[in-house]
Amino acid sequence: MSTTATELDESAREVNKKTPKVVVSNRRDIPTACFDFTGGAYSKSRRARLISFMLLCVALLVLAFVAYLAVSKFSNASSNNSRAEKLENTSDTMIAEYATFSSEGTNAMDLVNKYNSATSSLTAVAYKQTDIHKFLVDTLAFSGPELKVTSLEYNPLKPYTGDEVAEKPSVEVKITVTATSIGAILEFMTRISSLGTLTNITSTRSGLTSIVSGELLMNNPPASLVDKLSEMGIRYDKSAQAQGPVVIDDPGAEGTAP
Amino acid sequence: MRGTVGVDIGATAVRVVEVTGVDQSGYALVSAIGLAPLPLNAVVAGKIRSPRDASIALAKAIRMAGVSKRGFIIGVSTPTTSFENRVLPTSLSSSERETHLRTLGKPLGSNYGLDESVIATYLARTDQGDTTLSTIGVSSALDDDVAAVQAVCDLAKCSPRAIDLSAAATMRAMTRVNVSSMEIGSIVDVGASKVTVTTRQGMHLRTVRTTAGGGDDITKAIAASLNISFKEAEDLKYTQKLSANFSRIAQRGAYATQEETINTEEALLADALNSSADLLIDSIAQSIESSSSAGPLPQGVTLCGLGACLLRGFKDRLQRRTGIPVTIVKPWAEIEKSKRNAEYFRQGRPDPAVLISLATATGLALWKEPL
Repeated sequence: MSTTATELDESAREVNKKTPKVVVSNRRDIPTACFDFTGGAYSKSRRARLISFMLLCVALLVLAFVAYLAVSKFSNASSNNSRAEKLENTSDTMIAEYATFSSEGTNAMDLVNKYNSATSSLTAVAYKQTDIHKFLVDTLAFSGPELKVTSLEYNPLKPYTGDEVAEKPSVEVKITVTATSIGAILEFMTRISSLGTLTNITSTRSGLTSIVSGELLMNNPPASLVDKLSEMGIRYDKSAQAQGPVVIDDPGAEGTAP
Repeated sequence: MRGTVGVDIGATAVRVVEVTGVDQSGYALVSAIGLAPLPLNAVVAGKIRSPRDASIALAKAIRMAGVSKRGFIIGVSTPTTSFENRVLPTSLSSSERETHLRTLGKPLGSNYGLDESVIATYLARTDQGDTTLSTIGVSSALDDDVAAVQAVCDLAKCSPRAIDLSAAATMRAMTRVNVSSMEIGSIVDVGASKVTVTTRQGMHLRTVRTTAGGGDDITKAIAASLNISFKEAEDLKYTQKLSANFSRIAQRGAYATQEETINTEEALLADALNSSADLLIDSIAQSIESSSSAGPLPQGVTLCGLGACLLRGFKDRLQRRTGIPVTIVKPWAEIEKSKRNAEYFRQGRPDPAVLISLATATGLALWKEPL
């Protein structure tokens, strides 16, 4: 069998493919002789300057952040003060809005004045989030960054009379909230006061933090709250009378893991 | 785009060049130029005698070029700077090399000790057979010379990135070499008050020799001979041509007639020109010949610098004296066409005289961090 010219070409191409090509470069380069009689002092000082500059930038950023926080707190305080002043002037709308308190025997203006004196500079404190806090906020359809429920005590002992109450137990819920505005607290109080009677309102102030607490006697708690309390193992029970109040501060301590 | 800036403090001017890159053919792209003249004797033979004058010129040149006052490369070149190749362990870092050389205690400069030296090194090549050893190019300069350059920068409120050996910079500007080439060549940079002869082998420096005396000596000889000003003598210098033969003394002197006086003046001029040029050519030839101590004589000599290389007949006389082919070349650089650079163009092409005068500054702008 003879080899055709095409086959020879093919085999030659294969050989060419396998044979490494030797490339002679005619490229001319710049000679590499370079010296530095400063011993790289500039590079070192530039590196040092760069590090200093970066540190300065970080320091400035931190300073700017701190300044921003301070200014925002100051502006909040100013805003609260101006709000408080507005409340002090007491518009008709305000009185109408908090008429619920008056009807329940609590003087709305007293409440307002109390908050004015106590909450001129409010800020949020650590928020202990438990299911019941969230539940309360959700139930009351209240949300927002201005107010946090920071503690809550549930006491099933208070007043109940006979079987009627046992079926629909009255509960005393002691709520402590912190807020960044008086309006938020008042709104919150208004909402919860519709659930029962708000009593023993106190306000304390510690530095920039004001804590407002009050007791809500819920003569007719919503069924959802009762259910939720039941889910959490808090049930109305006459035998609980001897146990004293149940404090729900730490879900883990009460076996009500979130 | 910001490039690298080279600063050359010469005897007549401070030259600032910004190079933005190198094109495919190897030409450095000069984007900005700053030239500021120096008063007479502010810098002589590379030594800065008046740091204040030099600093004023430096600030002016930088301003003229519109480049940053920081991060430029400046050159140092005096008759006291020296260069030699040493074989050192490859593992030594740049700073360790200096410590090693100082520990050895052998002076690098010809007339000053190690304690007066500032040492700079670069990795020339690693030994092919034994990779643990490398050829290191070692240059030393008198610490006073380096301090003078730094003082000029401080006075001009400038901050250089590096102080390089001007001879190496001139070589970078004038030479493009095939990496594998081992050809030997000399570059003769004739300045106004100094001559630097740099001999290379392939890509690397072999010897560097800087001697005092340059083109100004010819001008001074003419001025003294004809009793005219330095400026007039400088203008006259470039209208003359060196005779093919070496100098002869004028015979007639003051006893000539009026017609003869003209001839005598011509004879005096020719004599002054030829005799001073002979001295310079002799000095250059000796420097080239002395480079043969490190190996064979160069195969070619490249002449640059405005001190005398453009003097008609100078190239031929040097070629006759050394017996080596001499060429006058311009550096591997192109000036970018822009409104700012328009004055450096002649008939649409970069002025070769400008390019030659900027050779060292251009080479300095091609500096890279030494290994």
